Amino acid sequence: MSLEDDILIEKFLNKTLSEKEEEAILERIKNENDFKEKVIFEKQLLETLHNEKWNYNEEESSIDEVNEYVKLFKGEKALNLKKVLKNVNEEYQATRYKKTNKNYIYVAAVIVVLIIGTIFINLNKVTTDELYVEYLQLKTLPSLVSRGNNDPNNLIKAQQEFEVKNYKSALRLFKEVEETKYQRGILQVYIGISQLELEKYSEAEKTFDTMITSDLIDASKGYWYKALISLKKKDIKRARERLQYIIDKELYHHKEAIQLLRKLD
Amino acid sequence: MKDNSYYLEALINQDSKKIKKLYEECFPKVEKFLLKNKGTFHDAEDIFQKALLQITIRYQKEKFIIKSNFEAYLFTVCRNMWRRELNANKNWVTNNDVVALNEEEFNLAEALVEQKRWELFAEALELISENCKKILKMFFNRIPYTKMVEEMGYNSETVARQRVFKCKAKLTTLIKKDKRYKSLKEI
Repeated sequence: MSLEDDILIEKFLNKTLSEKEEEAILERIKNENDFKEKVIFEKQLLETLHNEKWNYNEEESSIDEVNEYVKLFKGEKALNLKKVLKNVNEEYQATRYKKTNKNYIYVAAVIVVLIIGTIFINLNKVTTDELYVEYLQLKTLPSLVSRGNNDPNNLIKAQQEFEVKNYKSALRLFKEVEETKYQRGILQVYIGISQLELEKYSEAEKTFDTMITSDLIDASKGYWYKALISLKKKDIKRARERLQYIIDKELYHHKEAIQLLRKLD
Repeated sequence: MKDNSYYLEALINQDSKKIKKLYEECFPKVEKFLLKNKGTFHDAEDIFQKALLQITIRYQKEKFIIKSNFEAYLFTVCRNMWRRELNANKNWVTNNDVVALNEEEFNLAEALVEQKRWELFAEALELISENCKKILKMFFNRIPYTKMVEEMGYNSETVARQRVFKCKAKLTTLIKKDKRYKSLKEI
């Protein structure tokens, strides 16, 4: 390949050619097989050896080998292995944090010593607050308001108040909706979170306990939110116990529980 | 010390106990890497599983030899796979058709071939002179020629371009004469 062609291909791949030059090179790619091969190879070099960029083919690849691997990935052995890996992963992630929990007794002894210093207390405060906000995940809460017109009157208003963090007013409206025997687990979640945000901890506990013992489909979510209550109250010991329970029983958000438990280390 | 086929065989035989040991030894490092590079815990789980699947399928087909230790190799596969996913996500945002085109197995197969191509290219890069390697690394990482001139003490950009051209030609020859290249070539 000539130096001129090399520079031309480099500019083409870096998208710095003029429209006219680009048209000319596309024409050459179409008509000259050798030139096309050089462009493809140069592209592979740039994409493969670039430290950050990684190749992602936008067109279906024509490499026979890819197609052979597709068959293997679709085969029975691969499907079985996927199941095995999934199970091993779940088992590993669960035991990983059980071990951490056993070590907790020793860690706790160290913490008792450290706790004498006020610095630790302050640091811990910041961390648990941040974790609480991160794991409450308000933005991903499903909306209470449905598309139809069957929602109780106050529901839309309550949702709006909740979204602007006017929890006092939201809670009052949610309670009114609750009295209409509107039965949805997610309403209990909204009520509990509003109580939690208003620091009415025992009321929030009661709400989620009621949720857990109900026959609502979302019942097990109550455990997760009870763990968040402990987190917000900075009761790390209780938060850990509650998270561990979620992990052991594989309840709602058990993967998040693993993650959160680890961050509490 | 375990030889490199220990875990490969464990994967082929779907030996849960040994695979769990592999998780214990390697997952935390991969998780740490992903968390530092825009990933989440779930991404780490996903990438780790895909990497193990990729390695197994490749071993099933060609009984390849891992030149470094298994743990280091697995980490490289995870790292390359994660970069690929990051790049793919950028495409997904702008091109919905791309998503439709790429079913899971096809993506896994392409990632596998790309991993093999990466191994071939990276090995070839190690075989050329230190000077060439240095200038090509700058070139592939899109360092401007003006900076190359400064860094390498060349007289002009033209000299730098010629140097890149010659070094790239050496690298190309090495890659193309490797028997692995034929099957990785994209026409």
